[in-house]
Amino acid sequence: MKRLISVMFVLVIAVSLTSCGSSAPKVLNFYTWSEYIDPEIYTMFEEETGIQVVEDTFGNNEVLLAKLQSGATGYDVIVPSDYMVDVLVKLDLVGELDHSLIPNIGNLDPAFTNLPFDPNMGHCLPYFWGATGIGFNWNDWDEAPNSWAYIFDPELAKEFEGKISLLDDMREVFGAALIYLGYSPSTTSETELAEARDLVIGVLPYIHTFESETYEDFLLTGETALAHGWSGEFLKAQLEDENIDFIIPKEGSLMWVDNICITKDAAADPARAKMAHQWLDFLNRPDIAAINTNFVWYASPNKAAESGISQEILDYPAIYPDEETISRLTMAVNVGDFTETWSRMWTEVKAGK
Amino acid sequence: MAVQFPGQIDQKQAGLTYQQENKPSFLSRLWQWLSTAYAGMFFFFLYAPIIVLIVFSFNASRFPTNWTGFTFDWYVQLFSNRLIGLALKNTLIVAITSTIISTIIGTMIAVAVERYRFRRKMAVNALLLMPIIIPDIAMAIMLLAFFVLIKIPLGLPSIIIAHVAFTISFVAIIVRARMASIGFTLEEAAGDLYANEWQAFWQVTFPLLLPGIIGGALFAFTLSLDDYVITNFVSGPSSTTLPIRIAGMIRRNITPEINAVSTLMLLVSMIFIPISLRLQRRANMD
Amino acid sequence: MSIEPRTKRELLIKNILLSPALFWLIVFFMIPLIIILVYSFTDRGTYGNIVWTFQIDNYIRFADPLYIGIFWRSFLIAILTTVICFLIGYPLAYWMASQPAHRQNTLMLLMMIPYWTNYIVRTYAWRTILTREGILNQVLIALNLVSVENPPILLFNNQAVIIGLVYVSVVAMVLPCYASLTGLDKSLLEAAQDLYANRVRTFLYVTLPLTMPGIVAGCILVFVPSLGAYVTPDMLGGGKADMIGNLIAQQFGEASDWPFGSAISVVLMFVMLFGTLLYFRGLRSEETQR
Repeated sequence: MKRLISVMFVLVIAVSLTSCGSSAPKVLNFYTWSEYIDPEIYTMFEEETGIQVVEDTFGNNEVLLAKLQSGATGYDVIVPSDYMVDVLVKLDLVGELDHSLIPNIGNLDPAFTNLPFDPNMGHCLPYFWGATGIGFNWNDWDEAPNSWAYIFDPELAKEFEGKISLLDDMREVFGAALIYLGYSPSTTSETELAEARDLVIGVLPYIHTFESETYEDFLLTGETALAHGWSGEFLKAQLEDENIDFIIPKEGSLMWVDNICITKDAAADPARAKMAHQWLDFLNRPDIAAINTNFVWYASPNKAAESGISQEILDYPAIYPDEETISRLTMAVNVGDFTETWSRMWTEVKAGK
Repeated sequence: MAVQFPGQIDQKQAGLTYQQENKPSFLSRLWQWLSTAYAGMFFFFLYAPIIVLIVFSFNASRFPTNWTGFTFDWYVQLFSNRLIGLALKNTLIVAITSTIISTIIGTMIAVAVERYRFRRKMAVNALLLMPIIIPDIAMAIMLLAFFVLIKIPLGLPSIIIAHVAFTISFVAIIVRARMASIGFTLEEAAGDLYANEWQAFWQVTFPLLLPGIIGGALFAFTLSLDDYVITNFVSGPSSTTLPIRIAGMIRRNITPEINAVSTLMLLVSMIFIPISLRLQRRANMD
Repeated sequence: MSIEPRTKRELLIKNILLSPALFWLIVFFMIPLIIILVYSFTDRGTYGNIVWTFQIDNYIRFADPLYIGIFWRSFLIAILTTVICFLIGYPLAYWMASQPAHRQNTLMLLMMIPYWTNYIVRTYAWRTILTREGILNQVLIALNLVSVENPPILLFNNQAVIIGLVYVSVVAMVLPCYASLTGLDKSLLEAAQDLYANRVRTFLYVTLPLTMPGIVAGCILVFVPSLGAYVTPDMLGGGKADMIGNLIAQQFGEASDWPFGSAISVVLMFVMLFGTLLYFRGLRSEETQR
């Protein structure tokens, strides 16, 4: 008996020692959205630089903010959306970029290099941009569901009772509702927001689930027939089932620009800063950016990559929309103090009976 | 006349069974059949999801809703999954370290509380009880707020600290239960035989406590291995544990790889349980 | 039987034995608790930082029907889960206790094995079973109990959450009941069978009351985790059956409102403490009755 205990004890010490003694390879902690990069790129990057990228994912911007605010100091590179960059800059959670370390920065389309929330790419580079819309299955439709009414109008939503999914994201859901009602998706008016809230609560009985990450899977299995989500996900799903498609409703929708930034504490540490800048530069190499775009099916702000992007993607109106559609798209803006009201109304929806 | 636990079938005392049980009436046989059927349904309910999980780990299709063919592919994919390996390593480091610390100091306080009378014992008892009645989520946010305020970086050390904090009480309870069932008579007898208390403790009490200590250690180990909520809140980027990695996989990428991991975990525990039970039994006998 | 430490040496031993665990619990439990208590009286800044003004606004905000409603619904779900676990679990514990001794060990093992699978994974299994195209519906359709076009929606609602919670907790109810049942003093049962004619009355008036400690322990082990449940409603509730645990998590997550989240946690903990105090009061009065 005693021998057994001492053997176990030795085993335990051995395990803990082996884990302590191993030399840490160069590691970059990348905090991003799920399925938002071609995993091949991680391998290619490691082969070229010896740096191992460890990916962690989040489902909405607020979670990213919360994690950073609560002192998670291990992340090196993050991928926040437009309005969140605004918040992160104001809270001093992102570091400044050293453009000299990013030679490939010239490849970026000037249209995206001077966005209002981050002048002259002081803190972030644009990563991908796209629009939110509705995913559907051609088996259920003769004509594409070209309106938010199919989700927000109780008469129409009833048709698909229990087969509609919404994003688990208050900016997106209320944003869509507000646009449908003709208001700004970044409103600070309590009455307008209340209207949006009531609209969503009105169709809650027909909503199957709030889901931000696997909604396209539900569409694929037939669990849902209409999914509120982001363009690229549905188009990736289309590769598995050609009946899946995506549309930007006629009333307009949210356009977003996701950005890739370096965290404050990574910028402060020379070793980590160097790795982070290398990563940003690598991602903006035309060939890499093209590979990435061909995988995620979103629009790339990297002009030089266009020669490598598959024609199918370039021609796809839902990914690279025409002028007319672009005019219907709005970018979300940080609502500052009003966030608490948004938050409260969102809780009312989620708890909504 | 020997007393039967109502309904108990005691084969050893066949000759002395209670009058009523001697002639199995139709009613009592029906009752036995019904209760066995009930037990059967219960275990079916308990095992059905597990079986579904295992079966679909071999499903060729990515989706757990239709079966398209048998394959080992997901297991293969699992073994080359670097992130899972990392998570497993982290989980083991945390579980082993926190179990060792927790068992030692939990046993110590259990002995102290059972053995000695002192002022403010009630306060100590209350303090020991609280982590058990506080829900996971409350404990998780408490610790997060604490680590952030005191500026302790979130990572493996913070997870280990958290795990010890919520397992001490369980170890203490289990060891105390064991102590209560031993009583002190043996130790008093030892006091007559051995020169000092220290020897009496190590030669008599400690071996007697061992099953309780092992039981407590195993329980703490399980709690640590399984923990998701608390670990999720106090972990940092490179300190992902297995439950967190699995939850992440469920949330974003549904593939039978999840089923494969679960099946393997089940296999491991099926090997582990009999071993641990035997450990406890041997400790009991020595 | 505890002794009073008499010598200085005994006192020293006692303190050495107590200190490490006390230190750990005070520093890594009490202090965090106090921090949360303090935070519950602070305010949230524009971008989610803490503003140190003393105010009870968070508690007032919680007193809103919206949040009380969530709390109440969580409470009901937890109670329902506990009751169902009892109704399912106690009979099984009874059955197990009346099996021959050697079989009991095997049964115990059989029951623990699923329990050793991670609860997240077991909850996920239920998700795959309950989805519209999932196994359960497929079986029901095959048995012609439901129509193919309109199978019942079993997932992403309160019912699914309860199923998940019951599944994960039922063994925690069975074990203490079983321990109590096997610990029954047989002589009491003998006396009962001499006095009472049939088994039903023996059960109701003797067995059940005597196993009450086990039952109560089981209830606590089921109720506490169920009330504070977070993973199950998240995974099986589809965002529509959020419980108090989810609400708290959101405040520390996307809502970035730590003061409010702290206030909710304090309320939750108070309820738990209050319930436990009631339990202990009940135990003590039962003892004085005997």
